[in-house]
Order: sequence, then C-alpha cells, then structure tokens
Amino acid sequence: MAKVSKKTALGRKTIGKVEGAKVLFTTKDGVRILKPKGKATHFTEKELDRAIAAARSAKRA
Amino acid sequence: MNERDVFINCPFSSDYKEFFEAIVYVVVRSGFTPRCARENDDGGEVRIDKICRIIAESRYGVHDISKTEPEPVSGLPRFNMPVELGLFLGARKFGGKKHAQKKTLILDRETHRYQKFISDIAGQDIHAHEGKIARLIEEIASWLRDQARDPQVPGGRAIAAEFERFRVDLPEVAASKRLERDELTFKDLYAIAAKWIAADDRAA
Repeated sequence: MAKVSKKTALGRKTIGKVEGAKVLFTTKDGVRILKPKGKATHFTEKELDRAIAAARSAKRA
Repeated sequence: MNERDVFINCPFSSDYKEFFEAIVYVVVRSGFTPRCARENDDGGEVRIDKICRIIAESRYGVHDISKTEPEPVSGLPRFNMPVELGLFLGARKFGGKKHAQKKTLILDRETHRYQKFISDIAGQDIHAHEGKIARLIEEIASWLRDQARDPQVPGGRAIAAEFERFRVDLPEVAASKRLERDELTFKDLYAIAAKWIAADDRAA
C-alpha cells in the first residue's frame, strides 16, 4: 500500500502525496482522494462548495 | 508515467453520458486520477497526439469497447475505442520497461461478445458490465482495488450506491451556474466528484 508523505491537521485531515499525486483529503474509510490536476471550467472552489452543499441539503431536507 | 493516472477510453456519446460519469466517479473514489481526451480543449494539439500523451502518462487504462452500434447519421460504427485500446496495448508492448508495467481493464457488455468483432484480443480477460452502470462500477472498483493493492477502497456496490446519490445531485450543481448537466466539462465533473465525495464523507 502506498504511503502518504506528509500530514497536517490544518483544514483538511491529510495533505501530502501518494505516488507523486497530491492528496486532496482522506475519507473516513481511508481512501486518499487526489487533487484534480486542473481547475473546473465553470466553477470556482467556493461556488462548488456552495452548490454541492445546497444540492445535498435540498435533497435531504 | 504517473502511477495513479487512469486513462479512460470510452464513448463520449449522449447515450453513454451516465456511464462516463460513473467511470470518472469510481476512479476518483478509488483514489486515482481520471484522464481522458476531453481533459484539455486545446485546438492547437492534434487529437491523436493528445491521446498518445495521456496514454504515455497513465499507468492504468480502462477501456469500454461495448459501443459497436452504427451511428444513426452515418450508419457506421465508431472505431475510436478499439484504436485507443490498440495504442495502449502497443505502448505496453513496445514502450520499454517502464510502459510494460501498464495495466489494462477491458469492458464489454458480454464476456465473449468481443470475439466476434475484435478477435485479436482473444485470450485477454474481458469484463462484462451487461449494460448496467452499477455493474460497470463494481468491475472498475474491484479491478482498481486489486491493482493498487489498497484494501481501504470500498466495495463496488457501496460505491455504486454513492454514485446514485451523486447522480441525483449533479443536475442541481450544474443548475447553480445555469448549466445543463451535459454542458459540464470533464474538468467540472472531476472537480464536482472530488468535492461531493468530501461533502458526503463529512456527512457520513
């Protein structure tokens, strides 16, 4: 199993690299989700966070 | 070659859109980076050069060769998927020691159907998704888990259940920017999948 090279408690659970790829975060089940290489075409990071939160809360309200 | 990059070779037609979204989702959820010919829209880069570059950079390849039906307008099938599969297999065969490590998952609707239209790959282990998205996700998740030797990756059925929720939320996320779902680019889809997985994980 690949090792994560660096950990931090700031903001996200885990930041580092796995086999040269940047880690965005680690899920509770231990999968390291990798940071996308490019930015989204139509969304900023904040817009994505807001849109996903709104979609999720609408469905689960 | 990037050890976590997965080259996705599949149809980009509207009837395959949800299958494509499912492949991107399961690759991200399994801890890999999806790559495909749609990742950059650079008119200056010749398409075949772009595909070769992505294949060269990818350790893994997921190839769905199931779409063999003729196109409604031309009456002819599209051969891009078999060509790109051939390029990937060729890179592995002739690309030296480094590219010999490439791993390939080939998918069709039925296990032995490919023998009727692409018999040169007879003897390879072909996985069947039966035209079902959940089955497609199970096959890819199991294969990636095995390739990465990472037992942390959840089972295919669990990922398929997650994808169902993701699929329901996707049109609303697109609508927040006055976009239709089919207007989302590959980069949008990848970014949304990664962020959505984070939100879903926090809520679990």
